[in-house]
Amino acid sequence: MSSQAQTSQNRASDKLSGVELERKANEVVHFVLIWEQKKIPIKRADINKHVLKDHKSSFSDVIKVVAKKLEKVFGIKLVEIGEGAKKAYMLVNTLDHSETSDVMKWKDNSKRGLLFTILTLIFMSGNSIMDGALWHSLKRLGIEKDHSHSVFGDVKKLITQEFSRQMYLDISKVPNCDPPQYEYRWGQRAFHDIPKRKILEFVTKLYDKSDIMVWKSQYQDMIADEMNEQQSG
Amino acid sequence: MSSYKTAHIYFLQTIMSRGIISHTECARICEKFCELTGDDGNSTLQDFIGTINTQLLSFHFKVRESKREDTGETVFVLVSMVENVLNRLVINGNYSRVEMDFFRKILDLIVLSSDTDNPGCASSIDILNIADSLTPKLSKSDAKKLLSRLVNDQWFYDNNGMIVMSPRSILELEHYLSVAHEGCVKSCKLCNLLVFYGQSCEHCNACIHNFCAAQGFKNTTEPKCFSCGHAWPNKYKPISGALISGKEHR
Repeated sequence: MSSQAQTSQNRASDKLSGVELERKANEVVHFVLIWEQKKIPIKRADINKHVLKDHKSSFSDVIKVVAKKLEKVFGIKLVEIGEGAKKAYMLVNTLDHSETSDVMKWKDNSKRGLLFTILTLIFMSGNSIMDGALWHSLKRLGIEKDHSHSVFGDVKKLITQEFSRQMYLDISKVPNCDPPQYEYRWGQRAFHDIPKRKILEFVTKLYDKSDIMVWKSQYQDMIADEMNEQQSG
Repeated sequence: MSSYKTAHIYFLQTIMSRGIISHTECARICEKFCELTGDDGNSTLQDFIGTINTQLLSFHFKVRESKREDTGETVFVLVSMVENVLNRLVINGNYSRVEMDFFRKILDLIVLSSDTDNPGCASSIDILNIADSLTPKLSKSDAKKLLSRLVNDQWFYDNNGMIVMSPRSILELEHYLSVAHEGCVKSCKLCNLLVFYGQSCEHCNACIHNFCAAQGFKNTTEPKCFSCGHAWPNKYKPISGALISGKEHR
């Protein structure tokens, strides 16, 4: 074996650099985009297991390159969530899609409508709502917890499992309650995906009000959020 | 080659979301996004997509041009250039394992119909009848829902109950199909691309697309096989309304 081959072999289990780093980063981009169809956050461990394999030590270098490429080519921001071993990533669109829905034909448009409704209910109830109140409101729209819905099928599963796994909803059990009660809040993906301003504009239209400022506390909440985002972004 | 701009990213996101888009709609979408972003809209659609493909190359994705086998319409498909795509579909979570089995069985049925009078398609009734043979079994109503989901996602087209493959499945599953059905999968004698739904020579079994036949036999009253020279069967039909009985033509 030539000395050159030896050094490159030594390097294989070591840190990636240059062309190799680039190549691995490209593979990770491919992988996260395929994974994203599930809309479930991708764990650091998944990336290591399926793509990086022997190069786990280069994770932080690779992921930086991945984030840059996703943003530049696909208009997608890689957002880190969770801490330590539970560290995971989700993808957030950076383009304004308020005028594109006719051509985008997002998959599951109807599901998105339901999600938007639930997020609106939560936001307007002061950022959290109890499950009883939520289902009571949904019932008036013909959506019932224990009945299969013509469009959504098993609505309970959709809301409590799919939306929560996708991190659109954050559902937590209220301690010391019998029968058990659950509190619904916005999940991390919702904060990134859905501007509160959009919700207020929607509600304002719905109630035929003149201005989004009529919802005082929600309006202030929204402004605070937007300030935060400006500072961090 | 023009530079990569926001309009390209919008377009890329659209085709990522939809998987497959017809040529006419691509042109419309392209125009819309150039208008929306104020980016230069003077380049041709081919250039526009070429610019995107240059960016996609290193990520093993590609926007490919193809034609619908049933109507001959030009379409663009976003494909992953990494092989073993059936597994990929399982990973991507849109389809469960039993749903993937069903998908695979539909492909089998369509590919194996290449020796019949009606090659490259399967009736929806035959397809729904597969549901019983799956483990775990799929109920008829679930199978029906799944089939319409597959049609909706444009893996297949439904022409009044006759199911044909879409360019999306052909391009994405090219590798799988030619391995799983070695010997049964043919290339069109005229365009060299895979052909499922088309017409074949009675003598040597060579197969061509309907739209290729329409092109290739345009100037002759006595069509002959491009492979063996045998007279082409009378069943040759020019590509027009008679052949395409898709919903949108009603």
